[in-house]
Amino acid sequence: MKSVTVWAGGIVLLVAAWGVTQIPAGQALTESSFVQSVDVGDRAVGRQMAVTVTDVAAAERISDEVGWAADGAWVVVDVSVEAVNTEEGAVLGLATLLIDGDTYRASERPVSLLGKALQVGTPKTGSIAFELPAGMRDGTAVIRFTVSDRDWRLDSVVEFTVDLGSLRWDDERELAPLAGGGV
Amino acid sequence: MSAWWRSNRRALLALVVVVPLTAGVFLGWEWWKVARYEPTFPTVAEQGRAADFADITFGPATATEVSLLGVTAPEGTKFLWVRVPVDRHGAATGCTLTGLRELGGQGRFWRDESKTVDWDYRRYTACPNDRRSDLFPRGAFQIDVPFIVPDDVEGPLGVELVIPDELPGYVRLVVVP
Repeated sequence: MKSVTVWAGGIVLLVAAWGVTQIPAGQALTESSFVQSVDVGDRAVGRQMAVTVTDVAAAERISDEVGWAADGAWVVVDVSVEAVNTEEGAVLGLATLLIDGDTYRASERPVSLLGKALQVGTPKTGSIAFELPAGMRDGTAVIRFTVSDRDWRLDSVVEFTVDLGSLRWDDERELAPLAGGGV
Repeated sequence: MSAWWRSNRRALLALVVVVPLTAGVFLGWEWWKVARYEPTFPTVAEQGRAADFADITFGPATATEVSLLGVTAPEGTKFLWVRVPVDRHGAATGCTLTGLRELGGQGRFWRDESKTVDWDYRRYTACPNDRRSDLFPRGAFQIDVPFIVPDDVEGPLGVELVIPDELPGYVRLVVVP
């Protein structure tokens, strides 16, 4: 092989190696979640959790199956959720509502599906409730469900978009009682 | 060009061996870092057989479809009562029944429901890590746990038991409800 070819090849490889180091992978590429967007009635199957949003509503006051009740600006999402293949570590760990750049965590106050362990092949049905600032009646909200409440990098996230302005505001709504998986 | 290939054939051959070997070593190491703390290598007892593992005799295990008094199974599901005879031969090694695995099909894995259904607290759902010699005067005892599985589950199923010090090894007892 001619020495000119060898040198040229070496230099090309060096430049290529430098070029590779200049490509920033970035968090968005290396850590982003696998997002599945759903509508009411769609079933999203993620890595560990299958979610079906069955209804979404808003209310001035909500109550739960044990008689707890509170006034406020509530968004209530009824869901059916189950573990996909294994019950190890399968919980509905986190539900958030994003609106105008702010993130609201689902309320722990009522009896709801939040934090509940999930079963394989036996869907659990119930509600998730979000308490919003009083007067927040408009805007597009993105509701997300994940298994882990701390780390959803490279994990599946189920996303559901809702227009608050188009929701029907009830005076009072009772959260769907927990039923299904695990009795 | 052919002269270059010929004169470098040993180095090229070495590359063919070394590159996959390096990748294999790194991937294998990453796998092992996780797998050695997980139930990875089962000691299997076929249906109706017992398994000796870490000086303990497990099985033969049974799974029986039952109805529980005062508890209604969710629609489309059934209760399975899993019973595993355990003989520790005088030792007090602790063990845990981690769950029930579908062997074949989708390979689904269920955790036991002894905390969610009304289950007699006096039944053993694990090997108690207790050194009192009079705890089991007759030596052997049995682990009893309930499972809720979909109606379509027929088996064979694997009852999986783990002894923390023995990981990545574990016991799998095959049952057919």
